[in-house]
Amino acid sequence: MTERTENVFIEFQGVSKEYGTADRVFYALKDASFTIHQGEMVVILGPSGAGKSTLLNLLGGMDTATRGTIVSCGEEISSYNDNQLTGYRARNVAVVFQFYNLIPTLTAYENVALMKDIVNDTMDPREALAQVGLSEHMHQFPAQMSGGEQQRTSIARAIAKNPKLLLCDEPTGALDTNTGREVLELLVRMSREEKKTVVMVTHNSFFADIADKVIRVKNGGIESVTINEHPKDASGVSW
Amino acid sequence: MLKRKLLRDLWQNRTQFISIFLMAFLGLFVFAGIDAESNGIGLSTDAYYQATNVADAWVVGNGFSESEVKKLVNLEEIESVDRKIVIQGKAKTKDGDELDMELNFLESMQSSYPYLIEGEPFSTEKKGIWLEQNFAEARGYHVGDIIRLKYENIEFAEQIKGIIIHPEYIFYTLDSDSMMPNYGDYGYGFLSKLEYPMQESLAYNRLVIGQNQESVKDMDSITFKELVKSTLDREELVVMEQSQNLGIDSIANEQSQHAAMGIIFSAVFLVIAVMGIVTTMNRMTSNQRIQIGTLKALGFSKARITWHYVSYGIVISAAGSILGAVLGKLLLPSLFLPSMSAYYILPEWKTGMSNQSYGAIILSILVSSIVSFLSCRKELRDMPAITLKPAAPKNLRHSLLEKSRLWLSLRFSTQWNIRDILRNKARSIMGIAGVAGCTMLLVCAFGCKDCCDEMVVWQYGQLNTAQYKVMFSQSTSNLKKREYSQQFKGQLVQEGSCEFRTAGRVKTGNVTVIDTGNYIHYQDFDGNEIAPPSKGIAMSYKLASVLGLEEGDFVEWHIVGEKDWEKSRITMLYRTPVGQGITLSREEFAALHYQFAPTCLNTNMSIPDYIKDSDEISGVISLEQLKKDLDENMEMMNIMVGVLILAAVLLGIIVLYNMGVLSFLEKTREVATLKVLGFSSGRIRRILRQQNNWITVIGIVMGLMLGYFLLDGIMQTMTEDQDMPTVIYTLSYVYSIIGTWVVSTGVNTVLSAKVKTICMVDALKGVE
Ligand SMILES: Nc1ncnc2c1ncn2[C@@H]1O[C@H](COP(=O)(O)OP(=O)(O)OP(=O)(O)O)[C@@H](O)[C@H]1O
Ligand SMILES: [Mg+2]
Repeated sequence: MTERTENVFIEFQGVSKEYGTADRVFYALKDASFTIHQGEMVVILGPSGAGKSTLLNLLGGMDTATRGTIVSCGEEISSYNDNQLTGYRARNVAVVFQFYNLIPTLTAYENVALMKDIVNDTMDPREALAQVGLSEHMHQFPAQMSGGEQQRTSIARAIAKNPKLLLCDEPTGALDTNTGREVLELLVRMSREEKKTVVMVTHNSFFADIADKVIRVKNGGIESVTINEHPKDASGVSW
Repeated sequence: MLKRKLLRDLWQNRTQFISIFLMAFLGLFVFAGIDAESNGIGLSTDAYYQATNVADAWVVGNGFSESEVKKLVNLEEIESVDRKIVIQGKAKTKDGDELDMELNFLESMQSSYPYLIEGEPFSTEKKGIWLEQNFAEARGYHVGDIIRLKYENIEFAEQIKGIIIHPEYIFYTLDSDSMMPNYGDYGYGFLSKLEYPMQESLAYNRLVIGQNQESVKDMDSITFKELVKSTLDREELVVMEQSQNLGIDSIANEQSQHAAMGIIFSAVFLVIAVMGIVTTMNRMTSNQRIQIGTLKALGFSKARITWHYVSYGIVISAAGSILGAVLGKLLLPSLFLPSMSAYYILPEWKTGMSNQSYGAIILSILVSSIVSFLSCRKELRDMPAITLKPAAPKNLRHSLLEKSRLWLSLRFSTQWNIRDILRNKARSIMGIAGVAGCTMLLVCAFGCKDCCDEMVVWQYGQLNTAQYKVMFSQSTSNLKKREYSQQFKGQLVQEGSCEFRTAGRVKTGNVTVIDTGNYIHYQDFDGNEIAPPSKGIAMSYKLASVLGLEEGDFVEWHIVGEKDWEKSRITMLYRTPVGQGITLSREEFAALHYQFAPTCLNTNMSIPDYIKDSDEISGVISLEQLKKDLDENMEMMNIMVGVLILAAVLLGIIVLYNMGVLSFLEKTREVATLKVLGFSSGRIRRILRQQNNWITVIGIVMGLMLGYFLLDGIMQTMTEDQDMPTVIYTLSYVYSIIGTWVVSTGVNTVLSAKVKTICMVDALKGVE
């Protein structure tokens, strides 16, 4: 572990997220601490309601922690205000949502090109869409695409942004086995070839095999952090 | 890309946006249109007065001398004084008719210039006559023609040097009782004093005064009038300020009436429209909640997202309100123009929006921008993690009603509708407001007409029941008048102008002296007939309330043209729609040492033509003619009422359709679920219709009440000289209810037809 501390990319230290009133506190996340290194492919595993999405939202600057410090991409985002978080998201993060969250009134191409409005050095939307194999469906609206195509568009949107950190919340949750595998392969390729840090939430424990690091969450707490010395290929994952 | 999203969103929600557009459009169309019309009257008259330097005051009297003119000019308050002779002459037309012609012989002219239409400019040094335009046109006179005139027994001829109109004659009739002018049947002319047929006795009977605006700035008109009278030491003189000129006063009143009616009505209109915009914008933004969350998560800044949504509001409302205002200004005033120009003589009819219209445009744009800003901010307030999830329904608790026994006994459709209404309070309130607004405007529009009709019935059916009113000429002797009275079994009446003075204020009004007879009736405040006044003076309610007087109080009054001020106790109050003032019995009048000099005779016997034509009778007005005149006079009211009814119906349709579409969109999932559960389209339609019926009924009931109050408010603010009780006939209520019901159910039928088109699969698929 020690030889890798210099390129610690993400660090959670005693992070908690509380809901409810002072006398009836509910911890969605409690005292979570872990580190992630640059270029790692991390899978967050845990049963429903464990706090996975909470963790990912905190990491993406989409939510604020009640307690603890979060450092990501060299920035201490736990001390950020709303505007600073917006800047952090715009500079560093791309998110792939479980329900795709495409803008329904924009075509696939336009949804990807939307990123140009936020960041300067984006990938050409055509190339991003080609990478996810959607060149043919470029000019369709989300409502005219299948779930998998929509999810791939949302991934194209994420890679077009050329982010330092790619966050995925159950990207395959709404997809069938084959489509899910394709999406997964895409994400793995992003991590391996582009050397992006990818953090992916899932409750499918088979995914643990392809990750460099697996963080298990249970009842709002970190149950274990395991490092996979020999991660498998995405195609080898069984569902 | 966001721009493209903007355009596509606009297209996708076109029903909403078109309705926002139309609401802004209609609101401003009516508001700016009526404003441009009434404000335009002001612009037109201002320009006219400016161009002709209309006089500030006139003094009516006899034999004004040169030294009197000097005395007045020496006053610091007075800039110019001109003498003129005004006489009631006749014109002997080419067809052999003798028509009334008021002739003005001017000694000098420093104010009140004639407005030249054709020919050479008027000058007090030139010979010839400058003839009024309508008369010249109707009787075929041109510049250069000779016109033959007659004054008393003297006949003379003048060459027409110019065709003119004059600012002192914006509106004029032959006698003060006829309401509709008959331009062309009589006229006026301006000449130099050199042309006066009796040069040996230049009896100037009018002074035309230009005030020094600097020094009269802080002076009220009473003080000015007193100043003139005391300077000349002639208490019998009548000093009239500019606003007392019949034409100038009438058109100013007309303008303020249009403005009052227009502004009140269209302000209500605008409020409804703005409310519609508010709800629509608000719902639009809430419906895009998840998209807002997504944009935020992607890294768009709050400012960017806010601007994106605010621009929806700005684009639509700006387009709607500006276009509405422009078209309103362009189109609405021309509806009023034909009747206005038949009534009032102005050189040019301008239209122009006042600052109120610009204010209304800015207001409607501002409101929709602020609304979109606030509703967008509301969604942006939370972290994206929260906004990305659908909003938690607010009211998850069961209402008290739902816990009660009664609830269980209700049918499913009733339960469903009650829940739906309670859980979507804003939408339900807006729906009710739309219906209420529509009913309110309809009630108000119909009621306006009712009030006028009621006034005619009251005045000519109850207060004055004579079929004919015979007007005496000035020269007719009192003896002769009494003979006529006996011959036609009539009631003699003397009518005149009167000034009233109390501690607080001075007001002009009417004085009526009645002989015994059965044609003039009096009513108390509640409309019960009361005996005509015998002892003391009776005052009309409206005047009494304007002067702050009650029965038993003293009032000082002064008949115009008489020397003395009287101080009398008010022994009776009576109610009358027009002609606010005081009434005395002939005996009481005599007791105050005035000579009873009747001006007219009321009778039910028809007057033979030879008497009508006699020199002693200046005219006979029949009740029928009066009613007809009044009806024509109501033409403008009818146009206004028509515009309002149309606008109310359109607004109702837009608001209701828009609300319907919105709630329909929001109910789609539920309706689809009901369909999946096996409800037939017909059954679902009935459920939806039931809710609409409830809302319509509540809205109508509220609208009926609000309509009455709105009309009452308008009637109260009308004018000081009219006492119009707020009356709305049952039939008007019925029309309003039917109108609203038709609009509401019509819209709903169109909407509920959409139930069939709901695709269960599509509706239940996405999360959004
Ligand atoms: N806004 C909120 N208010 C209260 N509790 C919340 C809120 N959001 C989440 N929680 C709670 O926090 C806990 C963690 O939620 P989280 O969404 O992180 O779960 P998860 O691990 O992603 O579950 P899943 O796999 O089902 O998506 C849950 O028990 C949830 O009930
Ligand atoms: Mg989750």
